[in-house]
Amino acid sequence: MARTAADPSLLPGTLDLLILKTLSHGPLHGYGIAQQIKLASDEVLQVEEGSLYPALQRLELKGWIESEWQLTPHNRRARYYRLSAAGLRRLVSAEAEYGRLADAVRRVLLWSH
Amino acid sequence: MLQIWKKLVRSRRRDRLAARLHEELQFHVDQKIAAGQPVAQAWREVGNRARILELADDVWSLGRPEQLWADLRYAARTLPKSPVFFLLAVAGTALGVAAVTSVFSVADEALLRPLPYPESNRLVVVWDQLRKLGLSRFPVSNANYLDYRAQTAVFEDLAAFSPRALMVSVGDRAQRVAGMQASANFLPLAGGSLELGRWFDPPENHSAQAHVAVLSHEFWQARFGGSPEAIGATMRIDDTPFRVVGVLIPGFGFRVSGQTPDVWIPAALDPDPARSAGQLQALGRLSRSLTLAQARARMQVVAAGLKQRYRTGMGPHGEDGGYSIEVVPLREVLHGSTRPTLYAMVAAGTILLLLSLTNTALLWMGRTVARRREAAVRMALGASRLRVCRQRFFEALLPSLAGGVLALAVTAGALRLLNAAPHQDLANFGAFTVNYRVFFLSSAVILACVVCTSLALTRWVPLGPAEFAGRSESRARPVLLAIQVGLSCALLAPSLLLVSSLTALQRVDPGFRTAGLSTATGTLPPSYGNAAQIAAYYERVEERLAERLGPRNVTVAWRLPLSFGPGGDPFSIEGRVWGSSGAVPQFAHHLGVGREYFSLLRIPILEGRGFDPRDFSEATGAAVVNRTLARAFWPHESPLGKRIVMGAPQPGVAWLTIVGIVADVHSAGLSNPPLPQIYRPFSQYPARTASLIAGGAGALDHILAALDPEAPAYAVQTMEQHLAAALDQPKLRTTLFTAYGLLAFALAAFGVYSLATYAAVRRRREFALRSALGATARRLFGVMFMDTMKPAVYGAAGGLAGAYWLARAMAASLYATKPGEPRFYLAAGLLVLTAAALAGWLGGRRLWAIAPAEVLRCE
Repeated sequence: MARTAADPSLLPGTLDLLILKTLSHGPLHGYGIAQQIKLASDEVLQVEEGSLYPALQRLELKGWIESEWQLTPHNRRARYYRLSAAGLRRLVSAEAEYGRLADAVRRVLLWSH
Repeated sequence: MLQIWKKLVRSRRRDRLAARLHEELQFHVDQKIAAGQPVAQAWREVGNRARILELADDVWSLGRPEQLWADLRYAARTLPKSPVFFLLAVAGTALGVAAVTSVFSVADEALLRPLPYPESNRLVVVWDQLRKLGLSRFPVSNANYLDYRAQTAVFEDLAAFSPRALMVSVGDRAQRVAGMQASANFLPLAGGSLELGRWFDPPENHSAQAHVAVLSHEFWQARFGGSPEAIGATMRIDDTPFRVVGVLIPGFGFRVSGQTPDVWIPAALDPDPARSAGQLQALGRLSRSLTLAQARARMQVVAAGLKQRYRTGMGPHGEDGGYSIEVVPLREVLHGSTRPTLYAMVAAGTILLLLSLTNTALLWMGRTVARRREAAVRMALGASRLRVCRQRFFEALLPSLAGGVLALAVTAGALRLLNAAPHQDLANFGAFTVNYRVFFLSSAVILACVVCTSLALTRWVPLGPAEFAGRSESRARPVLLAIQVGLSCALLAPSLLLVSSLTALQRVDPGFRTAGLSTATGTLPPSYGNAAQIAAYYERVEERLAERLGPRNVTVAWRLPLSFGPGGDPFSIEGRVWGSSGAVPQFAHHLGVGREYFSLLRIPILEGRGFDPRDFSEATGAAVVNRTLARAFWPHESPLGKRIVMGAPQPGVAWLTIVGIVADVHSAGLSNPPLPQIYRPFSQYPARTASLIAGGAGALDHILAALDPEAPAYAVQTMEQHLAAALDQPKLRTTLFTAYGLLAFALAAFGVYSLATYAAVRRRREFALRSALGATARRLFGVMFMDTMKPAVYGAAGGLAGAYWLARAMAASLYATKPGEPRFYLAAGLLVLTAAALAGWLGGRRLWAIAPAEVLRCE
């Protein structure tokens, strides 16, 4: 149901899924999330960094993630985001959903050849 | 929903959010710079900070004011585009709110609100009873009143009152007003107070000379112009000078007789040995330590003591009349008879509200479903769910507000009509006013229902493909359908009963002629001192009228038919022990009538003779009885020549000889069967208050001209008006209830239609498929028909059970109609089911005439 109106290059809900997945490895700040997504996808997926923050707000409102100020290893204050229990459940179902969608897309592509 | 709630409570501050984002973005950019990016590029990749803040803020906000305004304008623009929908939504709300508000405004006043007297729950009215004679409430004699008042353990105080019409002259103008005789302790007991002057002193209840009067505020304003000089002024009451000593505060009314007393005078409480003949009613304040049941028990003991000591209520031969004392809460006395009707009306109003609730919900369901695509498109284009919901909300708000305003106007109008209508039922209440609590509550309930419906349906909107594929039928549909049909049956069946009862009542032959007759009633002042003077006066009036209208066209009588109470006066039969005539209480209405009474009113003489001139001029002791009396007391023989007397046969009593039997007349209202009646010649038994009846051209004017100006006429009307007045009350009741019944019927029909339309939209795909797979139109019709009729039949069954319950509550106001008569329930059930079938067909007909290819291609 999540929409990324600000980022039409991604499938609907993809940004949310990416954020949740990234946070499932541990708490991270916004910059870290952007970097992780870039790295993990071998720089294929370029998150438009500006749209990351409204998306974080939306996920927080839904109760899927929580946030608090923490110090980085370099003693700098940063907002760290963490996956909540509800977020974890959401991630599981969203992954399954996404898997089905991706499968369907792949089947369509194979069939048309 | 939860998210909206979170937004409301947590409503994150925009400035705090801005500060947080600012720091996060700064950190983000700093990290990029630390990783070796140039400053400008780092900022460019992050994007416009103001826009990010805007987007983040939107996540948390309920919407900005300019959006709110735009949504409101949008609602105002779209609604007039579907005027039918708009009107239906307004009408639905208005109907439900008006129905329930008007009914509860009346019921609240009558059933719930405390009486306007301090600690009114302890106020009771005390009556005497002669149970074995069927007299459950009759006035208390002076001697009994004084004895009851001495029961200080039961009553903190006991006051006497007695409503009485008074002929009052201030200056030259005589006027008949509602008066009240009262004891000195009445006002403190009832908690009234005075605006001016004083109330009665106790001695004034005990001397014949106490000619003092206290005025109501309203009478004082009207007749004395509110001048303080009224105190000490003299006015004539029943031709006797009375001195005004006080004025009551505005609004103090003791409406036991249906009218607010204008003039209060002291009751004469001199002890009088006659214990059986009472004039007084007693208002008591129960002792704090007693419940009503305890007080009743104690008064039973008092009654037993008095009975033993004074043989109260015993006949001359030791017959026991069953004397006892009745203690009834004042509220019961004032409003008791109204309660069943009011409960029925409250039920009717509630049913209408429920119907209009379900209907309004259906209306919105239909609209939301019809506009699902629009919503889906708008959400796909980026409108938030909140935004779509908010627009729905405003769309719902506008017609609901309009409906509320309309309902308020309708209620105010209805109550004004009711206040003006003749209604004995409600005569003990003051004017009714709109009850705003009920109004706001019912409006809020409807609004909430509308909003919830449209919001709940919006939830389904963005489900996308699944939704468009056509979901299975909603489970709410059969339940809603059954409710609609049931509720309308519950109201329609009692309406039919009431209509049948009214029709039967209108068909009742009153037993006397009304066409071409007019009547007026007058009360002679005490200057006509004795019976002879009174008789002579009416003789003169009759003669004068006979000259102008013809000798056979005028007569006089104590009272008019239909105007008697349900009781009667005891009489005795020569040679029989009183009360020995079986189950029938030995009571009769008796009245003196003029020479031409039977012929003018066309009351046929069945046996024997009517009165002849000698009966009027000499004390022949002739009496005429009606057929009911003859049959009840002489079932196997002719009563002609038998002798009777009113009251108990005292030694040396003048017996009356029955000389004739006349046909029955409805003396105590149309709904009561004719009661035993005894007629006597008026001039032998003249009464100060008497009605003149005359026929012929200009009869009414002649009557008015012939009467003594000292005895101004009242109840001036044609006999047809007199008869019609007897139907006022059942007519009002029937009209109100039937109006509710028909509205419920219309609402339910509309509701079923909406449901069918709704189903038609939802099931298009399914039916298209079935049709494509070879289902015939007939078969599809069958499916659709059963879908409507099955819940409708269940609903009707439940509704008719409710209808029986309602009808039983109204049994007392039904005439010649039993609450359980099956034909009315059958008729109501058939009517509603037929309407449901028709509405279902109209709403669903587009379904089975479906073109499958078209539908399936569309999706």
